[in-house]
Amino acid sequence: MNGSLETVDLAAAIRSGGPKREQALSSLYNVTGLFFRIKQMVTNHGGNEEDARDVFHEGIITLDRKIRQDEYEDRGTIESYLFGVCRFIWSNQQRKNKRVELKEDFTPYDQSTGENPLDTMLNNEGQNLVANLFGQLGESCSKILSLWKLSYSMNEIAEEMGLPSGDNARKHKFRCYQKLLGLIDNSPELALNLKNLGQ
Amino acid sequence: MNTSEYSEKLMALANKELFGDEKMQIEKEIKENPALAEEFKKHLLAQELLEAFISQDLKKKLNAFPLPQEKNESSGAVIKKMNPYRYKWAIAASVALILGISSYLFVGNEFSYQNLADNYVLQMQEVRGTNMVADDIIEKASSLISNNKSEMAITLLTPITPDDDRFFMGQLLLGNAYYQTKNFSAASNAFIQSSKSADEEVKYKGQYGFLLCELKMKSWSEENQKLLKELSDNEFFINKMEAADLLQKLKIAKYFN
Repeated sequence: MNGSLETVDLAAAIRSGGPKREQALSSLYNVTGLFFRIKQMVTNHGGNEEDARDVFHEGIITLDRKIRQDEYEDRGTIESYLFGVCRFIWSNQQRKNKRVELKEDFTPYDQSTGENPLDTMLNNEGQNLVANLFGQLGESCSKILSLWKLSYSMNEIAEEMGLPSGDNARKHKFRCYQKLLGLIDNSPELALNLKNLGQ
Repeated sequence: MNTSEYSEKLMALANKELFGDEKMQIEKEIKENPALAEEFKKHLLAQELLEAFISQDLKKKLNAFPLPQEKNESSGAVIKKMNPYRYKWAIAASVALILGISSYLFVGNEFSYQNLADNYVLQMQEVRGTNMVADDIIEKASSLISNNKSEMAITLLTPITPDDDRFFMGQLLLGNAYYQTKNFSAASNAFIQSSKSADEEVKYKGQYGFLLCELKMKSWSEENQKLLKELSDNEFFINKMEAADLLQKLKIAKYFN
């Protein structure tokens, strides 16, 4: 894809979930010049190519989540938004590492990447917890629930999972969800998280 | 409403799937019923955990992608769009030669199907997990396949459903079992299912099994050739060398046609 992305179309595709989201993310990943700009920004501020790759990936993950959770505002192009998110991520990481800070002002988009409970869940300790939990849930249940969360229709889930029908997929999804709730019940760390949700 | 119906409603509300009167009604009940409110918190946490899992999954996928390539031109650096499926190679191998190659592949040599099945036995011994019922089935089925008792393995493996921890592994073995009974169509379907696994080892073995079925069913295509090339280049695929060898044989076969 060359030039500016069709922000509305791409955001809509990501928001609608399912296979369209995957296509949109793939297009975004390969947008002409975008990674190069991010790499320049990171390497000009104390990072290397590997840092740039991590920042680029984190930026796409954040953008994906923000769009799907309706926290994305259509201002300017989606590349500018993603670039702003990446700048914030790199600056934040630099601050945490107590190294140099970016000299330029952040773009307005930067404000939208403040940490939330999910970000906390995605730190190292949280990542292990999540990986453990979904490991216990099992691969196919994790996949069914992810597809559901990503707005795949029941028929699409049935097709992906080789199930005979959408109704059948719905039953499997419900059973898997109950299994997930059971695991939450039995996890002391998550019980603590549950308490925090009420505060 | 019974407990199950409440659970369905709370799940839908937490995932923002409820609207209008239905949404207002359950929200009102949550406000008025502390026990229900407590239960709803668990659903919200489940949604956050799913989001976290999706982010982790996306991160893994992105890490597996090649970075967009840079290309220096007079006007400055430009990013070149990568196409992972750029590989173009047409093949028109004759049925006879393909049959010859596939016979070689599947009958008593180091690349044989039996050899693959034996590898699965070793793998099974390492995957004991939380679901002992499915693990036991898989272990038994794996042993049956190794002893050429595939019909029994198929009967054992078929009940493993997609909500089971070991579904994809079960499909991989089922593919093996069907393959042994020469039901290549059913084997192909099972391998396709296993190739949807997030476990890369299961996924790549499923893809390879599928390709072997395609060869057996004489339905080899350009897409298959591309996939075989990818597997033969894939450092994480345990049977990479066999895939590369098969690719080479198919390339040679081309010149005889």
